[in-house]
Amino acid sequence: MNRREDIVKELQDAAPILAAYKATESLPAVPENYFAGLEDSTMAFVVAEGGQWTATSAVQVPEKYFEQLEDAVMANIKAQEKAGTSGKTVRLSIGYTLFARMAAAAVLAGILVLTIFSDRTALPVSDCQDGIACLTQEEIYNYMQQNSHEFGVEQIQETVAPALEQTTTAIATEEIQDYLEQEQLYLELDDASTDIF
Amino acid sequence: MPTTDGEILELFNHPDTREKGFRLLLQTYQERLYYHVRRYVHHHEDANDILQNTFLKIWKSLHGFRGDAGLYTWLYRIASNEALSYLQQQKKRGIVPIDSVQTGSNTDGESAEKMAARLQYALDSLPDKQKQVFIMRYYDEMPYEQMAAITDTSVGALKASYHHAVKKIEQILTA
Repeated sequence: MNRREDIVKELQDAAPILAAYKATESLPAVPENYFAGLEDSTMAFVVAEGGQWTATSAVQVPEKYFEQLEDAVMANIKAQEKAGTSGKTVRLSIGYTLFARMAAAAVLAGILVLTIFSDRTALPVSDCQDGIACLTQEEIYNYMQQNSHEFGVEQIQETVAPALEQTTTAIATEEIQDYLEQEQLYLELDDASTDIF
Repeated sequence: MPTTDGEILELFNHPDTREKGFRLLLQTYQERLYYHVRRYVHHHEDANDILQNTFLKIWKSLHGFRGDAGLYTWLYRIASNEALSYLQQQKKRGIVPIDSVQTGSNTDGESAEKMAARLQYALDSLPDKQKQVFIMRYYDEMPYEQMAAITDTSVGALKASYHHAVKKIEQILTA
């Protein structure tokens, strides 16, 4: 029994009309000489659309890339070792990064408001003579606010913690709300994720 | 002497003989692939569009063919997917065949051409996956095992799908 007979037999019980159709089946009509010209027309089409093939057309690599790759990789490894950055860097997901940035924005906004409501209590000032230890907390805050993308949430929290401890915390929520409305100092989501950071 | 798939691939994978290899592929498989995609659509022009796009994809990706399946199985899968994709595009554009015939008749005294048109109309009512299975089995007379290799579906699932398709078409033809 050939395959066509198998198929007709398979149909006879479930679909007798379809089985009868199968017996009279013929190939669809095709324009005259269609197949005779198909090879050339297809070849013309694929070359026009797909381009002429070259040995490197599948993946394009810059000239002399592989000749220079070994030296470039080794130089990169040495530079990494010299910088002492042998630890693996794990990039945070976008969602977490956005959350972290917004948390940092909230912390900074909070300290700003609290500082103002505490009659602008002076930030601790270092009495050193030179070097980075001479930076005031205010300078550090300003720098962190302007370059907050370089800092993690924990770093920001650690930095603002001393100021929070010295700040009057007995501020009613309503007072904060009023102040924000007066100063139009409200943060929107887009601001927090783009403008501020 | 008939061309083998190995010869086609060997020629195609060499830059100097690539076009020759592809022409041999066309000569060997173009008619079979044409009649396969032709079953999905009503008009030759649509089938030709699908076929040209199929061959373009083959031209671009044949160098990556690893030979896990037979060459024809691989080509057939591309053609079949291209046909389904074409139908989906047509649906999105709201294009429906305008030469559909009425249902409700029997095979007595009906021309083969009219029967084919009636069957094509019934085929249009099937979901894409069932249509694909029906075309493979009914028109292309493919064994279930080969269908399974092409569609990445189990033989049991294909038989069930074909059964549903056949029942639905029979129902339309007898309505």
